[in-house]
Amino acid sequence: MISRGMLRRIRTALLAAIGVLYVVSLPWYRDPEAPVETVYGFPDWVAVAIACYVGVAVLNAAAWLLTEIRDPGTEDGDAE
Amino acid sequence: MTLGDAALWALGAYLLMLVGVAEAARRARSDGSPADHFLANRDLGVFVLLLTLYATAYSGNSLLGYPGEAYEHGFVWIQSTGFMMAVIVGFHILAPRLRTVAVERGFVTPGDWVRHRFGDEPGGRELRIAVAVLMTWALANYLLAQLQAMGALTETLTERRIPHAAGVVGLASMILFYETLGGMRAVAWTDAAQGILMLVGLATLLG
Repeated sequence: MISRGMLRRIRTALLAAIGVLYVVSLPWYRDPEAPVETVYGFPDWVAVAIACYVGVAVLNAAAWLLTEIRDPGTEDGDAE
Repeated sequence: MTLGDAALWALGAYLLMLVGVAEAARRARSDGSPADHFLANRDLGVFVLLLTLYATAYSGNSLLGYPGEAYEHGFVWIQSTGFMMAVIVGFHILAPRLRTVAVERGFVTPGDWVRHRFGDEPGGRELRIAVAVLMTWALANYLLAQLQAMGALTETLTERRIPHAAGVVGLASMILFYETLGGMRAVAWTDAAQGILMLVGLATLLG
C-alpha cells in the first residue's frame, strides 16, 4: 500500500516532468541554421515537440489519477 | 442534390434537434434554482461531462481557426497544442483546493469564490466587479470567435444561400433560445451531441 505522502511525491515528480517536457518541446537547443532532418514527414524539432506533448498528456492524466480531492461529507473531507 | 441543398437540410435537421433537446432539458429541470440552471444541479454524468468538456475545449477556434493559423504560420504553430494543454495542466494548481471550497460553500460561478474570500475586506466589492468585467471581456473574445466560425461555416456550406451575418444571428439566437430554456443541462446535452459529431468527423477525415 502506497502512503499518501508517497502519492503526493509521485504527483509532484510527474508535474516536474511535465515542466521538463515543456522546456524540451521548444527548439532552443538547436542552431536555427542547422539542416532540418525529417522524421515521419515532420521536421525533427516538430517531431520532438509532438512527442513531448504526447508525454505531457500521459503524465497529466497520471497526475490527475493521483490527485487527492477532499470533498466535504466524505471521510477524508470530514477529517480536514 | 448540391452541397448547398444538403447543407440546408442538415442545418434544418440540426436546429430541430436542438429545439427537441432544449425542450427535454426544460422538462428535466428539478427546480428553478441557479444551481439547477447554471450547473444542471451538479448531476451531469461522466459521459456527458466528458463530451461537453471536449466540445467546449475543441470549438470553432480549434476546428477552423487553428488550421488556418497553421496554414499561415507553418510548423511553428504546433506549439499551440502545448498552449492548450497548459490550460489543463494549470488546473493542478487551482482545481483540487478550489473544488473542496466550492462544494462546501455551494459556489455556482467563479465570482462566488472572490465573494467568499474577499467579500468582507475593503475593496471586495470592487474586486468582484473587476473580476466580472475581466471574465466577460475574455469570454466575449472567445464567443466572438465562435460566432465568426458559425457564420463562415454556414455561408460556405450553404453556398452563400445563407449570408454570413444571417448565419451568425440565426445560430446565436438558437443558442440563446436553448440556453435560456434548458440551462446548463441543454448546453451539456447539445455539446455531447456535437462532441460525438466532431469525433466522427475527425475520425472520418483522418481515416
